[in-house]
Amino acid sequence: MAEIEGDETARPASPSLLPAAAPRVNGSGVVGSGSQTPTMVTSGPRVVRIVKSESGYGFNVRGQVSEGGQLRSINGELYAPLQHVSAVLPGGAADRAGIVKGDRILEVNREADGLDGGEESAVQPNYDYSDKQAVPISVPTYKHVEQHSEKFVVYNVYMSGRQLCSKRYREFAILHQNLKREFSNYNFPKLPGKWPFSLSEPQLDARRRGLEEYLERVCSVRVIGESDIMQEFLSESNENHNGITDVELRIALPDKTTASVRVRKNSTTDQVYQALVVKVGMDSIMASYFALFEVINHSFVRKLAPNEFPHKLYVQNYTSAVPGTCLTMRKWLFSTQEEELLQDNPLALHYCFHQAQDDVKKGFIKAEDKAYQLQKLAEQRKMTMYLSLLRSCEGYNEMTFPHCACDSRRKGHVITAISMKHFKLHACTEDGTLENQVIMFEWSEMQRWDTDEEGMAFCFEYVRGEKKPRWVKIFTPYFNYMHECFERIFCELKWKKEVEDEASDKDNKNCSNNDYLSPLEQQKGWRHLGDEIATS
Amino acid sequence: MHLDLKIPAQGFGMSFFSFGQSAEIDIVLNDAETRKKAEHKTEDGKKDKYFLFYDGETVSGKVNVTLKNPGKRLEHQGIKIEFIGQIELYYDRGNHHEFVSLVKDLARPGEMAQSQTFDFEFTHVEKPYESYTGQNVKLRYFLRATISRRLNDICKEMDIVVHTLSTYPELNSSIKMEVGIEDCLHIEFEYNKSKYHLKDVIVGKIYFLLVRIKIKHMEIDIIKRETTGTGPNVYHENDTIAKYEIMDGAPVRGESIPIRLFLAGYEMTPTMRDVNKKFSVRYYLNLVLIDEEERRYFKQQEITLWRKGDIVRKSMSHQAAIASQRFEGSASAEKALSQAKEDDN
Repeated sequence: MAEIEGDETARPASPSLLPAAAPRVNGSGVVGSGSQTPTMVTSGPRVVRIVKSESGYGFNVRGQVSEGGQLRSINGELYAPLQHVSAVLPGGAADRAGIVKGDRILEVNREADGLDGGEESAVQPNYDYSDKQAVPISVPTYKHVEQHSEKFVVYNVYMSGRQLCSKRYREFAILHQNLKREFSNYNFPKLPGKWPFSLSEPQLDARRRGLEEYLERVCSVRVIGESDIMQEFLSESNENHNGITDVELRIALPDKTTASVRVRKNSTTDQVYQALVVKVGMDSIMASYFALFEVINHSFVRKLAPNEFPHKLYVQNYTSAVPGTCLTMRKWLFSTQEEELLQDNPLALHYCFHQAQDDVKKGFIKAEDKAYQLQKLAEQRKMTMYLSLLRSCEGYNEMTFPHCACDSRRKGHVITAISMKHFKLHACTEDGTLENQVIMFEWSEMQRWDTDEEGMAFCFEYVRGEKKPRWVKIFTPYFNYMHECFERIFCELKWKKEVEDEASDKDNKNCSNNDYLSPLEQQKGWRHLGDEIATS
Repeated sequence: MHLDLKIPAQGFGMSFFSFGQSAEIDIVLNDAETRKKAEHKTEDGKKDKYFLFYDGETVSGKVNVTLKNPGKRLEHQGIKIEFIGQIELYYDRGNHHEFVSLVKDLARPGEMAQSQTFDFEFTHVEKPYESYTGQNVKLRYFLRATISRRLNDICKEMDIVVHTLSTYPELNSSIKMEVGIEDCLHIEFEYNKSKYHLKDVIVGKIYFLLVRIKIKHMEIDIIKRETTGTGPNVYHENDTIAKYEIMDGAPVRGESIPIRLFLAGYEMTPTMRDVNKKFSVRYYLNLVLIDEEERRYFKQQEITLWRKGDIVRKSMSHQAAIASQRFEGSASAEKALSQAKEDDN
């Protein structure tokens, strides 16, 4: 503990607390007074504003400067060693403000600690640099890009094997400057050096390794790794190449393999799905029966809306349900009349079979007394027969949502299940335990439906014979997905009707020049179907 | 915690079975539910948990006096409670050096007809040193409630543990030195800091500039040195707290051996220098090299250990604002507090 010189007289006057000035005027400070002997009567800390005059501030300060020491209590509060006023110029600015020799300084300009003989200096808030954590950040690759007829290199930054961003050297240098300014008392590792000429491949690789080491060391210090500066660097893409940089997304397929697609960072669901279709080798018909889903947890997946950015989900969501990614491709079909899809399409059959097997295992499809038969068929790889038999089981091509509240129930929750047969609401307790009551709505009963963004709900209106139609609100966070399911059901019903009409249309009256609209386009917006609902 | 029966110097050959009234004393802290406890070694090596206090904290509670024989009165010469901080040197047990001694009278001399409870409060008690139980010296803080009587007092003691917190900047001067034996061994060693907190990591390296001897292995020892006594009676008690091998085998010139020693695994106290001019506890890093012929080459370097506070550090302006509230009459204290809160958010 350093010796603090000078006497420590108690401030005799009664405490007067001047309002802490909001604007940072030159020379304002907070001064606490009092000695460290508990028996003396002391006054409490007070705010003092000193305005610099011709003779300066008019006081001297003594004591430790950022050396630290034992925390001692003043009036019951622990303080680090404080500097104190060792002399006051009579009639000077400090004297007029009421500063007295012996007063202890708690903070200056609302920043604690570290004075230098009466001058004010912006001081570092106390960061704990010893709080460290291992961070799986890496820079495994770099890429030559050309943008606006400028050629340069970007380095791809990954976290836990997933690509976060791509930055050029210049951006790393700016990051380093910003970090040094914010954490000025931290001993930063050196950034790989600047080089005015173009670098050879080995030099680029050395720079890549240097940048990786820099990020690893800097991010391992918790306060730096979690700082706004670092978060911005890692998540936001520079305006220069906003979305132009490519990212690699891994997508899980129904047969437990994964496919990687390379897309622009700001690609929408449709664009990513298109890339996947090409990569996997699906034809356009098959593609219309599958879609991209997000794995929320072991028991629920959610279809991505067409205007979502899969990359955002990909880097933010980590789920253990599917290793390495939260994106998966699944069958997007409610209609159980899918034989024609599968007949000539071995790849579709393959995926449908594997997904069905997985769904049975997870309990989404209830095999029950057919379980043994199904297992046998699966072992013999008789995929068509397997699916044929499975189609009659409960839960096949049914989307079940996590339990949530519903305005038709005062207490308790509901589990929503959407299938071609009906719209089912299964009553359950607030923690998801199933109860007996089940309400089933026929699709023909549905009149209108909509989403309520504000209330986070999906609402539908159903007819009740003679009585007035009634709106029901389901408070699910996946209201958009539920809406899409509704739309898809009606779309498929329409297809079915069209197929039936076509079949019964001997004189080609119903022929139009338009092909079936691709399902993806039809899902934009909502509309009242009204009387167009086909009865099955 | 033990019951002390003080027998007056004259000593009548006091019988333990007094025919009069007797009482039991019990000390209970007001914040017993919320206050943290810390483990502390007792003199016989056992570990016990005690209430943890810091410098400046108020010690308040209740003293329950329970009469053993209901119906009989208890005559006494006064009831008091003391807060004591003392240093006890084992070789001089009779003399306790009290550096903190506060007393509160609970009852004037008189009679107690029934069991009673007395409140007490020692406000903002100074606790300048950390509780320490060592090989030759003990520093402890305790509350002692005493019922004074003509022949024998009734006492009850309750020990508490005090931790002293410090703060040092993250970047403090490293220890870097070149040492060796002429023509045999030259090494340069470096430790990243000279002041380490108790859960810190010693990061450093040993760089071999010249090696002409066959080194078998190299280790770093942490040595605790407890110094008691003054002048000609100074006594050092050295204790090797840790032995950490950092190299096995013969190094060559130009070789650099890294050091990474986690302090959290060892039982250590903060460095205590000349506490109340009675004792010191200091820590040293001892770099030891052993050659094939079992010769030992070593270099000792003192490091400062300090205890980092894990109490939430409020911003100073907030602290100042809270502290000023203790002085009533300032509506501006309220204002300052809300201003400070705003600034903090």
